[in-house]
Amino acid sequence: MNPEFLRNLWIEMTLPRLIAVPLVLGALFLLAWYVGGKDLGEVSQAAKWLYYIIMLLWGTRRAAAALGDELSNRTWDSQRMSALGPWSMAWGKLFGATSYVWYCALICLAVMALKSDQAWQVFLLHPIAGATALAVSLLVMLLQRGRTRASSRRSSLIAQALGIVVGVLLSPAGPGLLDLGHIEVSFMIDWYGLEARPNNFFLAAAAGFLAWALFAVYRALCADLQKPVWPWAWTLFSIYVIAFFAGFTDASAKAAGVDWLVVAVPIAAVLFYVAIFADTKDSVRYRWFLLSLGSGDLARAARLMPLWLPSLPLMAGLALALGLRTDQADPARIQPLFHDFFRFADVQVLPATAWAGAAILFALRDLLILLFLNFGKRARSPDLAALIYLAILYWVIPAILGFLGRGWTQALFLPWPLEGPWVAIGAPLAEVTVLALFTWRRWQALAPRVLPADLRKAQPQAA
Amino acid sequence: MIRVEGLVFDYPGFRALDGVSFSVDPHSITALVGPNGAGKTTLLNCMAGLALPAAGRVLLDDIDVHRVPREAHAHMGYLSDFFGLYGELTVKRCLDYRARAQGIASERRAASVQLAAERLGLADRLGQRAGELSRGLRQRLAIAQAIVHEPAVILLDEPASGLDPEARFGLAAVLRALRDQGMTLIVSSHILAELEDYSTHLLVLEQGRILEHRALAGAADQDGARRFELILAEPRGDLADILAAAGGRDVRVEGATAHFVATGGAAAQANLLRRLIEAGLPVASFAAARSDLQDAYLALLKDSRVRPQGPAAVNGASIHSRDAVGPRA
Repeated sequence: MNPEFLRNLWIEMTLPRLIAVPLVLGALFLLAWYVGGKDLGEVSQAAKWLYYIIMLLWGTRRAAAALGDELSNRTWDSQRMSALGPWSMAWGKLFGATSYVWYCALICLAVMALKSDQAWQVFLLHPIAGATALAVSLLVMLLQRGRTRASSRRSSLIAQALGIVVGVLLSPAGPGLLDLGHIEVSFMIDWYGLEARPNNFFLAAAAGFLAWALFAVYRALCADLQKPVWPWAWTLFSIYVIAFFAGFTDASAKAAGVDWLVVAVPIAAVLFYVAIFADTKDSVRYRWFLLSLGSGDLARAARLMPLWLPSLPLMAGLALALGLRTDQADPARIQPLFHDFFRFADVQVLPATAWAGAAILFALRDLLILLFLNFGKRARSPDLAALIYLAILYWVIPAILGFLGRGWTQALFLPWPLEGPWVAIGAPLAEVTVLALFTWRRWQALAPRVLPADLRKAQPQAA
Repeated sequence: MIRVEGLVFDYPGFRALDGVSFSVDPHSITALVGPNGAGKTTLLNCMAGLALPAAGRVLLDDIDVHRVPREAHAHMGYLSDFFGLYGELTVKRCLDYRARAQGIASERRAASVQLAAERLGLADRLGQRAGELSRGLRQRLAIAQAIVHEPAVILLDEPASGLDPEARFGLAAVLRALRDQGMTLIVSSHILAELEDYSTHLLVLEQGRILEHRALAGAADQDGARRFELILAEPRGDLADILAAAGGRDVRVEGATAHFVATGGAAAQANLLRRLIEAGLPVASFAAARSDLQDAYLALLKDSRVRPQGPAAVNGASIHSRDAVGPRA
C-alpha cells in the first residue's frame, strides 16, 4: 500500500471515529426523515446537502492541511527526503489526508442513492466535483508554498475558497443553464460538430478537468520534490482549455459573428493572468533562469522557467490573429470583445489590430507591475497590492476620466483605438518601457553581493 | 563518497554559497561549523537535494543528487534543524512509515525498524506515541527515521540544539556508533566542544565559502595514521628516541608530554603502549591527541576577518570564474 496513504489512514481512521460517523449521520438523516414528513426523497435531498457541506467545507480544508500540517509540523522536509515519487505522494496525500472525509461523504452518497431521480451521469458528477475540489485545494497550497508560509491560515483559506469554487462549478448545480439535476433533456450540445446529450457531455468534461487537477498536483509535487521535468504541462493545459471552450462556437454562433478566436482570446488572457499570479516571482530564480539559458543549460533553464512565459506568446498570438481577422473581414460580422463599447462610441471602422496590440502591451505592463512589486526588498503581499493597483488602473481611473470627457489619456489605462493606432499602441508602450526600466533596476539591486576576490584567493584548498 | 563541486546558491541580495567544493571521506564525521548565516543549512539542503543550487553539483558516489534526487535519497538520510514528528503515531509506526517510504521490502521492514530502534536506544519505547517522548528521545527517533534505510551518508543539521547535557552526551555516542557501523556523517553544530568529541574532520564555512577543511588531530588519516598524546609521570630525556624506535613519527616532546603520529588500529595501539611500558617509560596517559577545536575555529575566523577587504562585488564581477553556469556579467 502507498506509505503516505497508509500513514494518513493510521492517523485519520481510528476506530472511535469510524464508529462515530454512522451514528451522527444516521441521527441527522433520521431527523430529516421526520422533518420531511417521512419522505425518503427528503432524506436523499438532505444527504446531498450534507455531502457538499462535508466535501467542500471540510474536505477542502483537510486537503489543504495535507500540506499545511506537514509544513507547520516541520515534517515536510523529512517527507521530501523519502524515496516516494511525486505520484505516490500526490494520491497518498490527496486521498489519505481526506480519507475520513471520504468515509463520511460516501455514506451520504449511499443514502442519496436510495431514492434519487438523477441520471447516473449526474450522480457520478458528485464524487468528481468533490475530488476536483480537493485536488484544487491541495494544488493551491502547493503553488503558494514557494512564495509565502503555506502553513499560514491565509494560504489555507485561499486554497479552500478556490477548491469550493471549482467544486460548485463542477457539481450538477454548477452549470446553472443546464440544471442537469432536473432537466428534461430536450437539446443536444454541439461541440466541434459533435452532438452530445448535456449529461454525457458534462460528465466527460468534468472527468477531464479532474484528470487535469490530479495531474497538476503531480506536477506541483515534482517541483517540490526536485524532480526534473520539462515545462510542457501548462502549455498543454492552456491549449486544452482554449480548445475546449472554442468548441462551442457552433454554426449558429458563427452566423452571429462569434468567431472561435473571440472565445479563445479572453480564455488565453485569463490563463496568462492565472500564470503570473500563481507563479513564484523570485528574483533569484529569474536571474538563474537567464544565466542557464545563456550558458545553454536547457535542462536547468526548463526547471526555472516562469510559468507565464508560454502563456504570453499564446495570448499575444491569438489576440493578434483576432485583430487581423477582424480588420481584414467585415468588422460588423465579427463581434469584438467590447462590442457594446464600440457601438456606444459610434465607431464605423474598428482598428482591431491596434486594439489587440494595445491589449498585449497592457498585459505586459501588468506583468511588469507584478514583478516590480515582487522584487521589492520589503515586499509584503505584493500580489495583493498588484491586484489593487490593477483594479484602480482598469476601473477607477478610466471611470473618472469618463466623467471628465474622453480623450487620448484613456489610452494610458485601456486598450483605446479611438484616437488612432499610434496613440493606442504608443501609450501602453511608453508605460511598458518605463516599468521595464524600473523593474530592471530593482531586480539588479537584488543581485547577490559576493565577497571580494582577495578572500577567495586566501581560501585554503579543500580536502 | 560525497563530492560537492562548485556549489552556488543565492538568496535575494546575497550569495549564500559561493562556489563551494569539497569531498568527504567515507566512514568519517565531518563537523560543519561557521557563524550564523555562513551557509551551513543551505549547504546541507543542497547536499540533500532539497534545494536546487544555481550552479554546481553534488555527487553521492556516482549519483547526481539534483538529477535523480529520489535515487540519492535511498542512500542518504537527513535531519533538518527544525524537524517534526507525527506525534499521534507510535515510535514503531513512525519508523515503519519511514521504512515503507524509503522503499524497504516488506520482508526486511520489521528487521529494519527493530535495528534502527535498537541503534538509537528506542527498542523499549516502540509502543509509545512520538508526541509523548522527551526532547532527547524525539531527537533519537528523528535520527532513527533518518537511518532506518541504512543510508551511506547522514546529514544532521544542529542535531544537539535544545538537548540537555546528558542527552547531548548520548547523542555523541550514537553518532560515533553510526560511524563505526560504516556510515558517513556530516554534522552542523554551534557547540564546538561537543563536535570535538566525535568529529574526524572539520569544515569551516564563512559567508558561503570554505575557510578550512581538514582532518582533525586524533582522527585517522586515509592511511590510518593519527596523532597521539603521551604523558609521563616524570620527564625522560630519551623519550623521543624511544617513541621513534617504537614506530612513532613527527615526534614533539615538551617536558613530560609528547605528541607523535602512529599508524594502526586498536591492536596496534595496544602493542605500541606495551612496547613503551616495556621500555621503562612511566606512562601516566596515552590517548589520541585532541585539538582545541574552539580555539582553532575562532583563530581561523579572526584571521579571515582581519584580511583587507575591498568593496563587495556585485554578482558577476568576481564570482563567475568558478561558476558552472552563467556568462560573466
